[in-house]
Amino acid sequence: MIIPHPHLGPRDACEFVYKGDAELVFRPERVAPVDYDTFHNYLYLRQNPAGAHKELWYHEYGDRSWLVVTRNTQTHEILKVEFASEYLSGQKDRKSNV
Amino acid sequence: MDKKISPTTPLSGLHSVIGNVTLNEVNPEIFCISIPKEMNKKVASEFKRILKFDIPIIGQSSLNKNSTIRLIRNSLDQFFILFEKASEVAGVMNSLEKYFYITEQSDAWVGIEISGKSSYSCLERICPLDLSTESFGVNTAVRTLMEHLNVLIIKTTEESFLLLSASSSAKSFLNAVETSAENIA
Repeated sequence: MIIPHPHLGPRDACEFVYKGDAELVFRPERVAPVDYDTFHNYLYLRQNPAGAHKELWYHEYGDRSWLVVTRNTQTHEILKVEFASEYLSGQKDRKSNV
Repeated sequence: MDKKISPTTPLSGLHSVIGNVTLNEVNPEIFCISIPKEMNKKVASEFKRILKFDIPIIGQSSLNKNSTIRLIRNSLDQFFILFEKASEVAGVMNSLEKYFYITEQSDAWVGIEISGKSSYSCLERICPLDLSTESFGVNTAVRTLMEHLNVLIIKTTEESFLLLSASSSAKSFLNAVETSAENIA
């Protein structure tokens, strides 16, 4: 699978480490009393779609950037690649506590 | 009995010729330069003032007039600078360290220069990047993976590349390159 890096161009997936669903960047804020259901859902529950899926990929054997890759889980087609920081800035209605 | 300890390089000054591939160990002085957030807008001008040449775009490298200093842009906020001559280090780094975060990394890397008309064929078997001239021109410099090892690959001329990998796994890395060279010899 080839991931088109925004700065470095097409790169083999072996240079990256998959870090899971991009929803992980939206960690709930820890407040007292702790809402265990919220954290349980954050840690364990995923949509797991058969189709377009936003994922975190870390370019460990490259420039060490964090990317949000939109990938079709049925075809492995890469639909969009953006830096995680840019993805977050485009999600202003949601707060990241990561 | 007195025992004298003398320094050596990770590959003890390797020089070997395998078919049309020549391997030489090189030992540039290597520094990592990280950019503080407040310097983001002044990066290009400060480097130009100190080094007297333009900074490269990400994935490329630039050389000084004498080709003894190479500046590599790894990412938005990180550069590597390689010195061929140790005598040039102090003058440049004393200036750069006033503005940027500097890490001296020379001992952490092993350098192998691969040259010869089969160097491309040797590398294409172990490097996942497209190294053809059209997409990987002279002075391109990027990090990638060869076998299981992290490598910074720099194209120095049409038929030579500088490969930098971790000094702690220098012999494993050499084995990967030599095996590929032997397979096409």
